[in-house]
Amino acid sequence: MSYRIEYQWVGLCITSDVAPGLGAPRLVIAIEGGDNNLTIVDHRGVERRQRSWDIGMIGTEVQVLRQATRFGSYCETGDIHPGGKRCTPEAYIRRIRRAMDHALDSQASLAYLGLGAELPVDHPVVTAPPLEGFTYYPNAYLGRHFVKFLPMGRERWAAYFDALDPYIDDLTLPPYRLGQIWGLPSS
Amino acid sequence: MHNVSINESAAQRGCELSTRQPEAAHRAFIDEQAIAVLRLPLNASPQPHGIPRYLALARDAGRPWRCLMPQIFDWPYGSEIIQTVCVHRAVLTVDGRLRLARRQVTPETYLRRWRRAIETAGDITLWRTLNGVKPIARFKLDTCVLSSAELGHWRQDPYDLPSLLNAIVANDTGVLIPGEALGHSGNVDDGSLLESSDRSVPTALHLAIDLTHPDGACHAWWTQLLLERVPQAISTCAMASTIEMSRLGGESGEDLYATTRAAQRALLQRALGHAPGHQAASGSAAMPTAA
Repeated sequence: MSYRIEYQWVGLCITSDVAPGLGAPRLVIAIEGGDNNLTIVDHRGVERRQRSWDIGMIGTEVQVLRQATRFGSYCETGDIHPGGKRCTPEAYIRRIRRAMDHALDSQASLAYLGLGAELPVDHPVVTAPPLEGFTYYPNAYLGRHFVKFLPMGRERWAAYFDALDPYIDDLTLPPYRLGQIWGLPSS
Repeated sequence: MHNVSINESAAQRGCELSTRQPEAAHRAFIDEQAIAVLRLPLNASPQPHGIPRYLALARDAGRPWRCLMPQIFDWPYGSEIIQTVCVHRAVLTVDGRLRLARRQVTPETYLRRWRRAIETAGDITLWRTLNGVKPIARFKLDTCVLSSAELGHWRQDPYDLPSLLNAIVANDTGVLIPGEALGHSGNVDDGSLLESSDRSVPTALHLAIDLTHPDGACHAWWTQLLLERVPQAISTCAMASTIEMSRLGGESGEDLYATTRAAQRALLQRALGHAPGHQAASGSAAMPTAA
């Protein structure tokens, strides 16, 4: 059975001091993970499991915990192996709580985080009148058509969350399509 | 409490996380009163593997008992119940939209409650009827699917649809009553049944299977499987199934225990006799036993 292994979890925090106008602070749980049965050969010729950093959860503290509970359900069935081992959803939620407790402060978080969503072409945010200060960039990848919804600068991050909050709330937008993580050390 | 730990952790890292919406406390919430997990007999599915399967029930304030997974796709294992609880109910505990006896709990505490219920699950056949309410698997089927029963019948199956319905009636596993017409696809070859002026022949049947009967879960599983295999070209409404907590009877809630076995058998024979391509005699063939 194939499953996803998660290796590292890092909490990032966005507050109004880096995103003007942002109401409630937002948390991002960056997760380094990859499939158990997909390997790559690195520059030294060593084969190891492929892994990458992605946004695992994003939103207010409540939204992140709801996502943790939702994704924790995959631990119960063995589709997610945190640290390469089976665990319960309860243990997974506790792990995410710890990551939130030790989240980097907002200035440090900026070094690792970029926001920009990949939305379906018929998504309400895309079909609605364009928002000022955002770039709508049509794109396609492996036959999947989508629109990149990119805020122009951090001063638009508050509006970015305002626009996407309803869809983060109802868990219809996968967190990994809402931004990028870079610069965190690989395991 | 959940709120306290959240606020403490926020203070530790210097972020003022005021994400707890104060209005959440005043918002309408689901107040869970009780849960029950019932262990199904090992014959509930042809692939028992010795691992028990369960029926999970919950009762919220102001609502009757209801099944957590009302589709009879396959009887769930304990881990599948936990997964469903995570996705549909535990996520609601995070912001207090689901509470236990008006008390807010963490998702971890809530999941622990379900795990305990699974560990201590009682045998479904020992379910004590409460005011006549018990877990019932309900099916609504188009009688024209009886003629195509062979299409869904594989050689190694212990039942075809007519023999299964006969077994259900004979063993008192469930109740079969005539139902109102379903929305037909209109693809029946001669249309004689659907356009029949004979009012004694039902175009639809309601089947209510008592899951507390030792063979109930088994019969419900096979009914679901055989109806699923009916091609949509025969009937686009071959089935509508659900599990609910109710009286064993009609949709209007009347208790049909009084319906005699002879009356049900006669009803079944009439439906089988009028089904195109199916002889009434075949419905009364020797009934195989469940695997």
